[in-house]
Amino acid sequence: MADPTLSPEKNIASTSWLRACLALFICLGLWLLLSAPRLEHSASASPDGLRRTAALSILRPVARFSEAIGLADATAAIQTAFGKDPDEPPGGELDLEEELAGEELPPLPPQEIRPPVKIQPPDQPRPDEKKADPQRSPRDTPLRRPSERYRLRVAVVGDSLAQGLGDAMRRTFRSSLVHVLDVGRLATGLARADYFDWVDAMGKISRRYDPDVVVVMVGSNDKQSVVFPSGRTVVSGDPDWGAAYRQRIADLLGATKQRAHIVWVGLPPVRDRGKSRLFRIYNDMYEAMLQERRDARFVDIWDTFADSDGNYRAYGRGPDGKVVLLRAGDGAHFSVTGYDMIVDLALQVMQNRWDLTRKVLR
Amino acid sequence: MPYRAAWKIFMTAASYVFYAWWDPGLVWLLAAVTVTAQLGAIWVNASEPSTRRRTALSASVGLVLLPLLWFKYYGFISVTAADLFGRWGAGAPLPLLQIVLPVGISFYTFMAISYVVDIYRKELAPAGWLDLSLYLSFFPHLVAGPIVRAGELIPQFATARDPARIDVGHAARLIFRGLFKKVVVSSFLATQIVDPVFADPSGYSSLDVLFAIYAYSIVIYSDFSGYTDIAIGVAELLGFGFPHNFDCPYIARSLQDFWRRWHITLSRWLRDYLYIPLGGSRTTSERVYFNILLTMLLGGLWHGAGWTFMIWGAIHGVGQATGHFRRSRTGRTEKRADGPLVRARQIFITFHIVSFAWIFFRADSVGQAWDVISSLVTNLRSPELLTVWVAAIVLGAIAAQFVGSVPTLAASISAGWKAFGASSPLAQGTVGAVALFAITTLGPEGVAPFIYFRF
Repeated sequence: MADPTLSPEKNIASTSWLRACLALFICLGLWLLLSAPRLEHSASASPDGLRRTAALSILRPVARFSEAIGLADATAAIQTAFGKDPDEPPGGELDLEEELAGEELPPLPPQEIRPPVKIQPPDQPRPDEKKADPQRSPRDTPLRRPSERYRLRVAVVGDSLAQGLGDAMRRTFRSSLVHVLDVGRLATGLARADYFDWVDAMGKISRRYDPDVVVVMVGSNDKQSVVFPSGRTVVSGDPDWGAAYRQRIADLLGATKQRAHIVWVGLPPVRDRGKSRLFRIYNDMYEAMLQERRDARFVDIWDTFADSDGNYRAYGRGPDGKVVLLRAGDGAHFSVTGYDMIVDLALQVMQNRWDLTRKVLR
Repeated sequence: MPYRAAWKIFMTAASYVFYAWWDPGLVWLLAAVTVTAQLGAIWVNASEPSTRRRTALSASVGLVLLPLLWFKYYGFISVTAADLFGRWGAGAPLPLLQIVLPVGISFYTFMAISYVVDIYRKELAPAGWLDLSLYLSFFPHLVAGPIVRAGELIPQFATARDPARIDVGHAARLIFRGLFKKVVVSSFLATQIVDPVFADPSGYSSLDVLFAIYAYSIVIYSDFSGYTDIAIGVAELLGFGFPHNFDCPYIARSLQDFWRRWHITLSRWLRDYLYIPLGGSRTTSERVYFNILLTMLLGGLWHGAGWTFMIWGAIHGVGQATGHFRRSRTGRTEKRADGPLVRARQIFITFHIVSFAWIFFRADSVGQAWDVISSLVTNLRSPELLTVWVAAIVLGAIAAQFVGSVPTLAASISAGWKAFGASSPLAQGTVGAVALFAITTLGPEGVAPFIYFRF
């Protein structure tokens, strides 16, 4: 064995390597059996590809065996006892009561209660209605003036980019006048309802929280098949993928209430050039879809975070004119200053279009 | 181990594949540091008299350090220069490049330096190319330490590992303990209180902020020592011994004591390859204070290029220099047998200084650290994030540091693991599987990467 001075607690007991390998094999095998249903659940919602196929080909028979001998029921009961729902999607479900736990939900002025609005994607026009004309119909109505009693409700939804944005929103607004519900979810998107269904989550947010403003930043994980809650799947690369994705955008917008103002923050350029090209296409879709919705604005952040050629850049001038790092080391997320700059861009829209009072800012 | 050379080639190749998993494009860097260190070692070893030997050492260490300086500090230097020149109306003098830090570079660079310096000091003879490659790339320590010295690991490659005697009980104890610390303790506290509070300190109550600071002390300890436990455990399963890296740091009675218990392999590296060459404590008292401060400042900078890490290092440097001053004035040594109340006071004060310094370590900027500190006293309202679970885990994790101080408790835990090690493979495998299932069930979804992967 090694020098005993290196690891003072060692030499408790020794065994042969064959016995050690056998113990390791039994440990991993049993653990696989115990965890197979959960692992299968996660693997089935992972992005398409060789890894998913390989994982499922191993996990499916093990999970079926676990079910056949009744072990799956026992492990599910244990997980439930520890507060985990074994049947919930791998990305989890939005539990608003948990999100709002310990917080006092600000009351809404009674006149703010309005019916929900339905949005259709452009390739599926409603036959009985003309397309909204921004010249004729007032797209923008002012936001209500918040008070300490009736605080403005802002919900921030989307993927990990929205998580950083939510933190920045909380830093920006005065908590005495604005309540920020920051519910961004890591590794989520609009494409995979089987992993995490943002449309369903948006419905819950609308019903329970009824936000005045919904800030959306999503899409960076959507380079994959679109899976609807019904199970209908449109694989990545299919000619219908764009229509399916637009339908998901429309469903998300449809899950908001009519009185909600929507700020959809576009995707930024990222270090991966291929993804950047894709993000431009997504941004065009988001912007086009928002034309259909009253009080909805697309915030284009591309140029703020791009070099003169429109490509990714990591550094730029901050609000104080100093050169600062705007992006995180992964080439996709933002630094604290970067997120603060996105909030500034979103605020410009809220102030210029919807008369958001400056009093709400810290 | 009848085919030792083949085993070394296989293990080196496996370690390089492991490293390539993060970024295949940076494998050349590990190879380049290895080649530079070996050529430097051969040069130093062949150089006489001492002046030429010293020149060879300086040049070799400088060359080994170059990649680390480039990857870790270029961004900081270029932005600082751009700001400075911007004040005079000039453009950025250096291109603003976002350089991604290769995982593990700080660790294998320090190991390579220790190898060259030990040869300069004639404590070690140059190793073979294969031995050195395996020493620097050996996968259990590659990405986040511990910083193993060449003299500790390379001789183990030379002597036969005995595959008939694997300390499964101890290795399993380390691996499961490490997993529990990372997946359950660190991830829970990070997501429940630390991350939200540090993202928006002024949005939470003073009590939330206070417990977020305590919780971060536990998070960084559980995260880093958890990784080290797993690394040492895996190395033990392969028959190798790694140095101990943590020894209940939050029961330290002074900052000097803390650094004997926290990231021990970095502390001794800084002591042996920086503090002592600077003159250590065998010099004038003014010079000793300077040596302490410089060592800790550079220790801070090793963690990252930024003012927050420099302030973190400075707090520890000033704290240790103050302790040295007090001891030199009063003549009191740390080994003095104090009563329990005095010891409790010393532990309490040291823990709070260390926790205060962690604020700067965790914060993205000095401004954010200041927000956290000011929120400690300005947001007097009822807590939002401080739940019974958060408080229980923070206090439980602190209490766990004292387990080693209770001999009967420590003995019964050791006896339990000894019994585990002596049990049948079926029993070991079953207990292990249940433990693994419990850890993955208790931990939150989506565990973040180890914090020290960034360094």
